[in-house]
Amino acid sequence: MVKCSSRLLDRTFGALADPTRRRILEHLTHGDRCVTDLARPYSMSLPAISKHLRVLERAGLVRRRRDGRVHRLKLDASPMKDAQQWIEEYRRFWEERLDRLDQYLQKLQKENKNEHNR
Amino acid sequence: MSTTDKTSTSELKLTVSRVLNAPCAMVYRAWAEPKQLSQWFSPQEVECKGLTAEVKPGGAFRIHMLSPTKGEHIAVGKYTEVVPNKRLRFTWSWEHYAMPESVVTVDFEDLGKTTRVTLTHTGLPDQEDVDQHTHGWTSLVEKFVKLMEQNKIKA
Repeated sequence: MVKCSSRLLDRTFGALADPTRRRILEHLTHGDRCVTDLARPYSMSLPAISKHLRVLERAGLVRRRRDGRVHRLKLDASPMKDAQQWIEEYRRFWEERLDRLDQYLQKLQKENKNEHNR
Repeated sequence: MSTTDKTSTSELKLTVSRVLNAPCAMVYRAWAEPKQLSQWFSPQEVECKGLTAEVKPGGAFRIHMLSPTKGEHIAVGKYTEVVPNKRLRFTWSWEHYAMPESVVTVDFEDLGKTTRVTLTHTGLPDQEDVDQHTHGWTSLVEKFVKLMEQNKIKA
């Protein structure tokens, strides 16, 4: 049933709920960036931006590559697939419920009619 | 008559809409009266073991489903908005399963002899987030999907 994947999805939702983190991801859609590149547009301190990046990394949305002293960050959209799956599973779930509701209402009205004619 | 007019999957929320061949008050009661709800809420292969629902703002519901193939599942939530014949809104999660709470809104539109039911399920942790962030999140996901299609980022 619609329990869908994992804690990873939980973390994806949590990571995406914050506007700064969404802006960071947006930034990374243009290509890989280093931490200082990401901190600059928000005039954020490095520890503050690092905290957001850790959340994104835990959610699997960002990968970090160490190039000597420079940490380069790369976007990974695979957790988005889990989100897509969540949508698909719930869509099926509710379609099924509405099918059943439709059948139930037809039956109910038929019964009411029969009672009325009796 | 039952048609699925609109099913949106391109956003991180989903909408399912149907025109049901029954008057609005009857359709609403099927959702708002627990006795009726238990008649149709489980898919056929699933037995509804127990259903409690206090349909009023702040009221809780608990739906216990038992399926021979999919096992035991308990859906729980709280009603946050109850407008007779117009709208039901409730939170949605699964007991014994750590997932963020999602929000379901069911709108009823009186079309005379028929009724349009539009169900929206949003997967954000709380309502405030839904109102504040839906736009930003949605456009970001659209961008992701586009980039994935262009194979610019790993999916």
